[in-house]
Amino acid sequence: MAADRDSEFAEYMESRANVMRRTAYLLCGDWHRAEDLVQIALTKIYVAWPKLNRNGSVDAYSRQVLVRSAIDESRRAFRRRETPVDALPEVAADARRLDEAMDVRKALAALPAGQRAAVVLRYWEDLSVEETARAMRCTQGTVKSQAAKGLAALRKLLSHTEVFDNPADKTVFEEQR
Amino acid sequence: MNREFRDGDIRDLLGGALDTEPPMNIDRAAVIKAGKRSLRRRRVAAGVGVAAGVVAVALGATALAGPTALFGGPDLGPADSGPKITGTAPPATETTRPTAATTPMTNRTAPSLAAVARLPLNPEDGQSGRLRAIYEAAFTSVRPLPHWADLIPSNPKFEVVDGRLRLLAELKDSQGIGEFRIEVAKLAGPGTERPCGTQSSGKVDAITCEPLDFGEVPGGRLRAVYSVVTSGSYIKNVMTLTRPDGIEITASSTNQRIGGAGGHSRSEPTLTKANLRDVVMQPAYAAW
Repeated sequence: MAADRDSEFAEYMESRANVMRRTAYLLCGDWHRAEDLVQIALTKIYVAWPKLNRNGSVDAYSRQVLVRSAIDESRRAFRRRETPVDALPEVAADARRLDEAMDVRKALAALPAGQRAAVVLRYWEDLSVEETARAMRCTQGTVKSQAAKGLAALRKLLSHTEVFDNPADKTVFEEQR
Repeated sequence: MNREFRDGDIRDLLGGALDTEPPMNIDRAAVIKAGKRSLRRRRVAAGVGVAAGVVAVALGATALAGPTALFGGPDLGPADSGPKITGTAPPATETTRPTAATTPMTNRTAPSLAAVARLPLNPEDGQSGRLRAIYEAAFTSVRPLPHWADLIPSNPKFEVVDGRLRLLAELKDSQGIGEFRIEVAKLAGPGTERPCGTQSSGKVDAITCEPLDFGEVPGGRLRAVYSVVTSGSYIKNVMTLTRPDGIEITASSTNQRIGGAGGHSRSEPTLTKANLRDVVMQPAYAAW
């Protein structure tokens, strides 16, 4: 019985850990914290695995845990400090894309946790308003207002940057302001 | 521009923030180990929670039913709604206990079942030892028993019932075996003595209540009530003494074994009124 749980959970973890970590990163803006969040979520998923697996609600639960943990963490003052690391990530990328990614990350980091979660879940995870509300444990109206405010803030923060390769894309954002 | 395009555009924008994704460092075995640890903690917490719940309920019951409610069930049964009382004693004078009845009494009310509970006491307990010493002194030094008597079993039981320290034993003499009890309690205040006959449980045919005055002692008078409870062939002699210091001592003797085992083994209780007087008049009693 325990072996079944372990093997099923391991299979799920293999397939979903990377996706979860990306979502966690967008929620918190730090890869190390993202891994912490994913680990917290996976541990909770393991504990509730039989029920979640039976109900087919593993992904929804994992998103809920990630969002709740990220929002809780963001409220802790010590987490707001930068976390020093020994080495820079060894990732090759061209300078322009790195600049763009940095701009987006800065813009995301400037959003309040609730707005960031609403934007990430709605537009990155592609969840409906209803699903996002369940994950954030709030009303659908709150999701709509948080997502709208988050998008507006992102547009404002990115409007003066060169994030968009295609100027038409930037026009789209400008139209929504 | 339609909405799909705009949502997709935002998704691309968010995806752009992930360009510098480092390799994954999450250890699968560590996650599973942490999960198992969490499961264990939950199970332990659940066990502790259940135990705490039981304790809370027990404490609640104790708060409602008295300090010994944790450890036992009801002691006193409901009295018959209309026992026949045949009084032989003179009218009571200056006593808070119900006066001796010379006419049949009706509608006697038994004490509440819910308020009585039982706590077994270790015979090695200091209170048990003192009570046993008094008990033995009463039989060896004061007045000879009507028939040669012995303790069966040799070690009496001790318990606290509804706040009353109790010794419970069986006395054997040449006529058979009978139950014997001593109960010691500290009264809450004047007028809180148990009414005559409330020590009896089950169906009672008759109770006689005789008030007694054992004279003056420092602090006040020694007052007592002697009662005889009968129910069919069952007979119980009860002597209850109330001291000026608020200690109430009740000694009783019956003509059957503890719990009525084997029916009535003798025609009369082992101890007489005079024997019971000697028992309750011992000066060393202390309340629980």
